[in-house]
Amino acid sequence: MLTTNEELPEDLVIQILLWLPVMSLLRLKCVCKSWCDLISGQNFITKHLLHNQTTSNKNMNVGFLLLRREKTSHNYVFSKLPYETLEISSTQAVPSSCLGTNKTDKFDIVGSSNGLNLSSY
Amino acid sequence: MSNTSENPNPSSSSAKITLKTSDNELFEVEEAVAMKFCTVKQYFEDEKDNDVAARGSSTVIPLPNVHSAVLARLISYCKKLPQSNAVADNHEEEETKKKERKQYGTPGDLVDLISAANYLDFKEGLEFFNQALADHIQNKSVEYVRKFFGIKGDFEPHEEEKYREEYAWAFEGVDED
Repeated sequence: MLTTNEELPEDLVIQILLWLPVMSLLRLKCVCKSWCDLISGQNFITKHLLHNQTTSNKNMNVGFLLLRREKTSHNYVFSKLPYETLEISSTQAVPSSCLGTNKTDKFDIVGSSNGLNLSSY
Repeated sequence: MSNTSENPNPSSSSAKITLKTSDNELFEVEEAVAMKFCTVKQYFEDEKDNDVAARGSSTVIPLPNVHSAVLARLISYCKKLPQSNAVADNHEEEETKKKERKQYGTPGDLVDLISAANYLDFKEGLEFFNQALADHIQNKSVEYVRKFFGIKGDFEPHEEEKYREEYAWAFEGVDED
């Protein structure tokens, strides 16, 4: 699978990680303690936020977040609507850990800002 | 190579600069391409000799940290640069760009390209290849990423287990290594 063992210096690794979505970063906090500290650090979080607002993929990331129940399965899903098109660009199931074990638990999104959501049960 | 119409300065369109790689290969490249590499540009500025055309290919710039195979790929990327930097404004276009980024070689090649772009201070290239590598590791497992970057996990097994349980949803749906 892999042919190289060459190590990249930390500043380059940071620049690569800036391109990753939050989901991948949460997983990669497990890689080692220094990555965990790096990814959790305020400095990196701010950089990551600014990066996503200024790079070419910003149209994909800036927009509304919609919470809804799918007609067929009745499962909660998030949908992203970029400001540019106001059309659903991607849909993702709400993580089961957010819903608790009881599927009838109701929760509402109170507001969202810069990718942070405030929900109430 | 044959298309010089993009060059804003026609009088220097034929100026070439010779770059010498770590394996002693000589590359004669157009000035417009070579000047995208700030390290090369700086070399001329340091020499206080901005009249590149006058000295032309008689100046050989050594690049001891760049292998010929890597430089050839960087130059080929430079020639396609305008399309590469276009903004993706929808999901399909983003997928197309991802495919384009994939064409520049294996993940190992990307590490070489990133190191070289960094050494040459070639900002657009560095961003492009960083993004290509991020595409590659985005859905990979923790184990894969450790192996790829040559990192040894240093969490206690119970610490790691606890974290994985807490964020189980972030560990779902990773690619096969």
